[in-house]
Amino acid sequence: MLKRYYKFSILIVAYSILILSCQSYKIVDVNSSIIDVDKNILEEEFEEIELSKYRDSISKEMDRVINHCSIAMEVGCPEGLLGNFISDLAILYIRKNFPENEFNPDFCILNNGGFRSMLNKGSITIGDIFQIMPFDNHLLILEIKGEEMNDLIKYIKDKSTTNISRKSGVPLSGIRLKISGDKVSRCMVSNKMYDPLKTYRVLTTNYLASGGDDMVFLKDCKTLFNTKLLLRDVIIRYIEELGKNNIKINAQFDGRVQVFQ
Amino acid sequence: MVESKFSNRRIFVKKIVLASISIPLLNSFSFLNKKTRSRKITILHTNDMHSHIDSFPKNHSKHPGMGGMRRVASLVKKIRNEEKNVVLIDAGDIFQGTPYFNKYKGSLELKIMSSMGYIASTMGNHDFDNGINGFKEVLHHANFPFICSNYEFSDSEMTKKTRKFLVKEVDGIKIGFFGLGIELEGLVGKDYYGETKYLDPLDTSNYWTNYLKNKEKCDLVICISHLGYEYESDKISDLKLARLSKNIDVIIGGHTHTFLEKPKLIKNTENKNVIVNQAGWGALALGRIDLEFSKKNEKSNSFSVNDISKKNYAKI
Repeated sequence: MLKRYYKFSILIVAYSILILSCQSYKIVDVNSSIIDVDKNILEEEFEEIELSKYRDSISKEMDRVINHCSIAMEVGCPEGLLGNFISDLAILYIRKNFPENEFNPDFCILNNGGFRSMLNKGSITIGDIFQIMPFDNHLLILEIKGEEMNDLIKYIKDKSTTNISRKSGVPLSGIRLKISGDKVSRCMVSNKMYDPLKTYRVLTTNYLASGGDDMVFLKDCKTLFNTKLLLRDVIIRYIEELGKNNIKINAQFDGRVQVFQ
Repeated sequence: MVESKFSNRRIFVKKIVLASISIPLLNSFSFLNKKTRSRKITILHTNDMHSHIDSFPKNHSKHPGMGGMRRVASLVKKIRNEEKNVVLIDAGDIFQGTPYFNKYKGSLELKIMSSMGYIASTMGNHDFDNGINGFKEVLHHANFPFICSNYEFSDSEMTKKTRKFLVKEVDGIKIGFFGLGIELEGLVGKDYYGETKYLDPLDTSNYWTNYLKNKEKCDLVICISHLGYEYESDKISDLKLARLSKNIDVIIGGHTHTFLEKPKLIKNTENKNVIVNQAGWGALALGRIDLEFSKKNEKSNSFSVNDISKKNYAKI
């Protein structure tokens, strides 16, 4: 009698284990939401990792004054002080710091859309530069010639003659352009007349080199040299170096791009 | 005395028999089934946080005063108090975007994420921004693994310190994870990724999903991806992967900084549903997917995605 009970129950247990093991967990219902992380949500302090110490140290760094600016610099079209200043310093800094580099740039092209703020007159902090250039774009030297170079000049012409937004105008150094009506009447590259048959070397950011801001003509250009320097770091170092030598920051309009109607 | 001992035993045996019968019996009543045998997993996920520990600056043109890992952390804390089985995942590009990264090289981001209780992440292209060595130097601050299934590191230390897959059991649900990274050539400087080999995401996915579903018998397979949500070209993306896949249940994505209204449901090669989601960038959003599980025999997985009623997460 007892034996039979045992046998039977073992059978039943085995059966139920079998049933259970045949089944696996399946998704039967899905509920979802994307939660906006808005202003009303409290900010965790992370006391155990002493986050406030890091934050204080960062804000101290951001508030550090590296030099003084004699004049307010803004983006502009066809020429802007901020664009002139940054494209000039980029080419100067790269020439000075890579003297052994065989690929010396002939000119520099940047974009006004990349400058997110202006440089105020007075003291300049690291934070000010982060405001102007929050992007981590680095500087490259590319090879450009022929049709691409023609497209580049046409791009400058178009961007310089239609002053529609703060992104109009092209920050340039090493190129001088005279535009009469719809025609480029004079183009100098690196202090010489532009030669359509010549191969040039252009200093720009990886963002623009990948065709950013409609600079499609840069997309297939060969990279000759990657400086691996962030444009922002170059700006900070240049301004800081001058500050150490008690030279204030300045810039001027010099008619590098002129538009005549 | 002998008699009563015998009858005690008899009652005990009867109980066993009854209990053994009742288990499969109960099983057939689906309404009971749901109560006794269902499980819930709450996936919370972030991607492309880009060192945004604090909120965006108050004068930011697009997201003034919004976002930040510190806020995401308090959201996660709140949901952990409400839900038993929270699985917190990140889909890469933790690094680069604020001075915190420039100064602390990513160590602070990893410390914060460790404190938040992430279960796993994968490497985004920007996580190579200080090179393989830069990543290795701060990696010990993370108490969670980086799953990189389709990167083959030439650096043996990286091979040791990252993982190809992860299996975790949460409340009886066996979860299998694998991670897919984007092609590095053209996106990351060669000097930064070095000799790291990029393996085909689809082949890699087929290999690991087969392993996780069929060998490890996982109930849930999650792909943590930094491939990007969708492209105009035929470049591999989360949506394309979902369509061509078998055995992936959920793809948690990143890279394209895509803000979705709700997760996308895609039919895979076997006409089963794959859930694809992404949560913007800059710690501006937290993705949440609650998965209800039940023991079932049938092979199909039919479900729809419902919206959780917009809860007020303010002032928590």
